[in-house]
Amino acid sequence: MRKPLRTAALLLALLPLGLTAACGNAQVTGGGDAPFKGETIHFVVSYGPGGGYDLIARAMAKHLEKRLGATVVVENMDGAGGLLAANKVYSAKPDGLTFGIFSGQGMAGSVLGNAEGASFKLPEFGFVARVAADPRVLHVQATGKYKSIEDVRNGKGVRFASSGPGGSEHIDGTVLFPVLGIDGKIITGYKGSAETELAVTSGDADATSGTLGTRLPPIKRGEHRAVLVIGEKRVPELPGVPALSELKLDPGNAVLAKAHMTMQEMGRLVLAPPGVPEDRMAALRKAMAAVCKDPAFLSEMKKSGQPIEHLDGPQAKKVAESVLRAPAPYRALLEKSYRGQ
Amino acid sequence: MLEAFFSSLLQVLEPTTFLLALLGIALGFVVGILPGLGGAVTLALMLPFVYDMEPVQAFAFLLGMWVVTATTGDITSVLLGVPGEATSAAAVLDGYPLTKRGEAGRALGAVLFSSALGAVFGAFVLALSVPIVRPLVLASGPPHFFMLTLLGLTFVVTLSGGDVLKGFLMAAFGMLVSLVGIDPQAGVPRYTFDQLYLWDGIDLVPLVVGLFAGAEVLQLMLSKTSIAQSPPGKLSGIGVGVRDTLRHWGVVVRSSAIGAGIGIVPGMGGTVSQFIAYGVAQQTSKEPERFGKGSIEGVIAAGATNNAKDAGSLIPTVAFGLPAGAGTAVLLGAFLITGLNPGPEMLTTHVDVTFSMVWILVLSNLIAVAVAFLLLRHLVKLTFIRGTWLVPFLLVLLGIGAFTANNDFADIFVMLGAAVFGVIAIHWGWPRVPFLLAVVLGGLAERYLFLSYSLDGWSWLKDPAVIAFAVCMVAVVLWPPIRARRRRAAAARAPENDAVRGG
Repeated sequence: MRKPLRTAALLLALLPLGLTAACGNAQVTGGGDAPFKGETIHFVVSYGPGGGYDLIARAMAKHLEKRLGATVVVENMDGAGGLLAANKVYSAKPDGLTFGIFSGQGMAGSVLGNAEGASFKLPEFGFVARVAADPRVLHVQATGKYKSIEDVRNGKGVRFASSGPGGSEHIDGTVLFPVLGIDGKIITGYKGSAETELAVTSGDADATSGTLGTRLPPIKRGEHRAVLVIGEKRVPELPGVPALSELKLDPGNAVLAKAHMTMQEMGRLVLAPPGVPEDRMAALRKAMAAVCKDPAFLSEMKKSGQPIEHLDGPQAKKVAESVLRAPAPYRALLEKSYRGQ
Repeated sequence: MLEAFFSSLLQVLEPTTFLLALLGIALGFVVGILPGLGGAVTLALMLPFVYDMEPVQAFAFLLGMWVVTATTGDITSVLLGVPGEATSAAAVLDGYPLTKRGEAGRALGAVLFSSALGAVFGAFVLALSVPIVRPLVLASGPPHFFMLTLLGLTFVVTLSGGDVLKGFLMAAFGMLVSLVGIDPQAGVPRYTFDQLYLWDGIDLVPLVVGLFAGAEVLQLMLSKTSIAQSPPGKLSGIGVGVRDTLRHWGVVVRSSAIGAGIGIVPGMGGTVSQFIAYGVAQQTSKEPERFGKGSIEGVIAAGATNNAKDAGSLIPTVAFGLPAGAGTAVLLGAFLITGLNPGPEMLTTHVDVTFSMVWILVLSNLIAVAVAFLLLRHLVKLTFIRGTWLVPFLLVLLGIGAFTANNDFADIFVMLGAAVFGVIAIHWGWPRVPFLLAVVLGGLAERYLFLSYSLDGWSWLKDPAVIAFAVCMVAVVLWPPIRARRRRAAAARAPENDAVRGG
C-alpha cells in the first residue's frame, strides 16, 4: 500500500522537471522560426471546404505547425470568387498571424478586368510563396466532332461551358475565342469545374477548360480529348497536345496569347497582409519553402492529385507585377469577361 | 458484382475500420443533437485525420459521422422544436406539437425508426444505381433539372397551411431573396448593396437555422415555461411510434424515394426534399388537416426522407465528382485525399469502396438509432427544463453554428434577421416553408432555365421527360381542390360520420 504511494509522489515531483526539460528541447529545435512559437495562426482558404485549395491548406497547416511551433487554424471563407477572403486578409492585422491561399489568376484577373469588389492592391500583399502552378488545358468530348485545336478553330457555333463571369474557364473562353478566331458562344451557369466537365462528357457543351490535375482523369479514361495546353510548353502527361505558344497567330493576337500565358504562371498564392515585419515574413517564407520540400507533405499532395510547385515569395511577386503590366487590349478582354459578355 | 457487394461488408467490419466508424458515429451523434453545429463543418475539421487511412476506413469514419448527424438532428427538432441540422427542419413541424402534447416518446420512436428505414431504402437505391447511374445522369440535362425545380415549387400550394394566397406571397418573397447575389449570366451584382458578403446570395444554413430554430428559441424565451406542458408520462410511446411507422409504410417508401431522388440533383439536397416529402405525405394522407398540428405521418415523412437523401446525394458525388451539397463537397475532398478519383472507376475497379459506403450508411444508422432508443429516456427530460434555462445554451450554439459555416459574422446577422422574420410569420400566421422553398429553388430554376435556353433555344420544351414533369405539376396543383370537393361531396352524403372524425 505504501510503496505505490511513494512512487506516485516521486513521479509527481519529477513531472515539472520533465516538462521543463521537454520545453527546453523544443525551444532549441524551434531555432530560427521562433517568432511564431506558441501563437495561433489563421490560415484563410478563399474557397469552401473539400476543394483543392482546402486540401492543400489543411495538409500544409499540419506541417507548418511542426516547423513554426504554432497552432495553425484553417478557416474557409468562400465568397465572391475568393475576393471576400482576399479583402479580409489584406486588411488583417499585419503580425504574420493571418495569411491565406488564393487563386493568383482570379486575383490578377479581377484587378486587370476592373472587377467590382476588389479592395486591395495586389503587389502590396506580403508574398509568402506561390505553392502550385498547374497548367490549364482546353478540352472537348472525345467522341465529338472536334479532334484537334484546328477543328475547334474551324468549327461553327462551338459551345464552351463556363461557371460564370470571372471564373477561370470564363476568362479562358473570353480570351481564346477572339484570339484563336473560334466561332461560338460561352454558356454560363454551370457550378464549378465538375459541372463543366459533365457538360462536355454528356455532349451538352462542346468544349471547356480546366487545370491539368482535374482534367487528366477523364482524358485518360477516353471521355475527353485535350486539344490545347494553355501555356508556353507542352506537358509530359499529354505529349501530343500542342501548347498555345506553338499556334500560328497574327502579331496582335500573339501579344494577347502571350499575356494570357503569363497569367497562367500566377498559380496558387499564399499571401499575408501588407506591412508584416521583415523577420516574421522571412520566417514564414522559410517555413513554407521547407514544407513544400518535405517528402511527407509532397507524398500526401501527390496522392490527392495536387501538384506542388514552390516559388519563393519575392519571385512570385515579380510574376504578379509582370502580369499586371498586361497590354490594354488584354485588359479590355478581361473587362468583357467580368461583365459576362 | 454481388461478390464485391458482400466482400465490402467484410471490409467495413474489419476491426480498425469498424472502430473508426464507431468513433465517427459517436461524433456525429453529438454534433447532430447540438443545434446549429452542422455536419459539413465537422467533416471539414476531420479531413486532416484521414490522410493516413485506407479509403474504406476514411469513409467509415467520415460517412458514419455525416449520416448520423441527420438522424440525431431530428431528435432535437422533435424535442426542442429547434432543428438539430438544417435538414431536420421538417421534423419540427409535427414532431414539436406532439412533444408539447406530452407525446415526445411516440414522435421520437416514429422519427428514429423511419430514419432507419429511410437509410436502408436509400442505401439500396445507391447500391442498385451503380450499373445505371452514369447513363441516367448523362441522359438528363438542364431542362430536366429546371422542370424538377418547378415541380418542387408547385408544392407551395400544399405547404401553405391552408391559405394558398399567403403561401404564394411568401414564395414570391422567397424568389426575390433568391435573386440576391451575382447574376450567373452577366456577372452583375443584384441587390447586394455594395456588400461582398451578398455576392453569393443569402447562405442557406443561417437562414434555415434562424427561420426555424431562432424563431422557436425566441418563443421559448418569452413563454417562461418548459416545452412539454403535459406531465411526463412513462415514455411508453416509443413502441407506439414504431408501430405507427410500420402502419404508415407507404409514407416511409414515398418519402424515402423522394429523398433519394431529390438528393441526386446537385444543389437541391435535404433542405428541399424534407419539405417536398412532407407535402406529398400531406397530399396523400387521409387526414391532411392534422398536418402541422401533430400528425404522426408528417413526422414519419420527415424522418424517412432525411436519411434516404444522404444516399441519393452520394450518387452524383461517387459517379461524377459532383457534390450535391456542402456535406458531399467535403466528402469529395476525402476521395482526393485517399487517392480515389470519383467517376466510372468507382463503379468498376473501386466498386468495393462504393458498396462499402452502402454498408456504412445502413450500419451507422442502425447503430445510432439503437443507441438513441437507449438514451431517449434521458433526452426527453430536457423538455421539462424551464425554457429560460435552456435558452442561453441554445443561443450560444446557434450563434456558433451560424458562424462556423463560413467564418463570417454576417451569417450571424442573417440568422438573427431570419429569426425575427420567423417570429413575425408565426405570429400572424404566414407559412414559412413556401418562403424557404422559393429561396432554394428560385436560384436553381433561374440557372437551369438560362442554361437550357442558351444550349438549345426553346427546343427542349418538346422533350418527353419535360412534358411528363409538366403533367406531374398540373396534378400537384389540381389534386388538393379536387380532393376537397370529393370530401365535401362525401361529407354531404354522410354528415354524422364526418362530425365524429372532425371531433
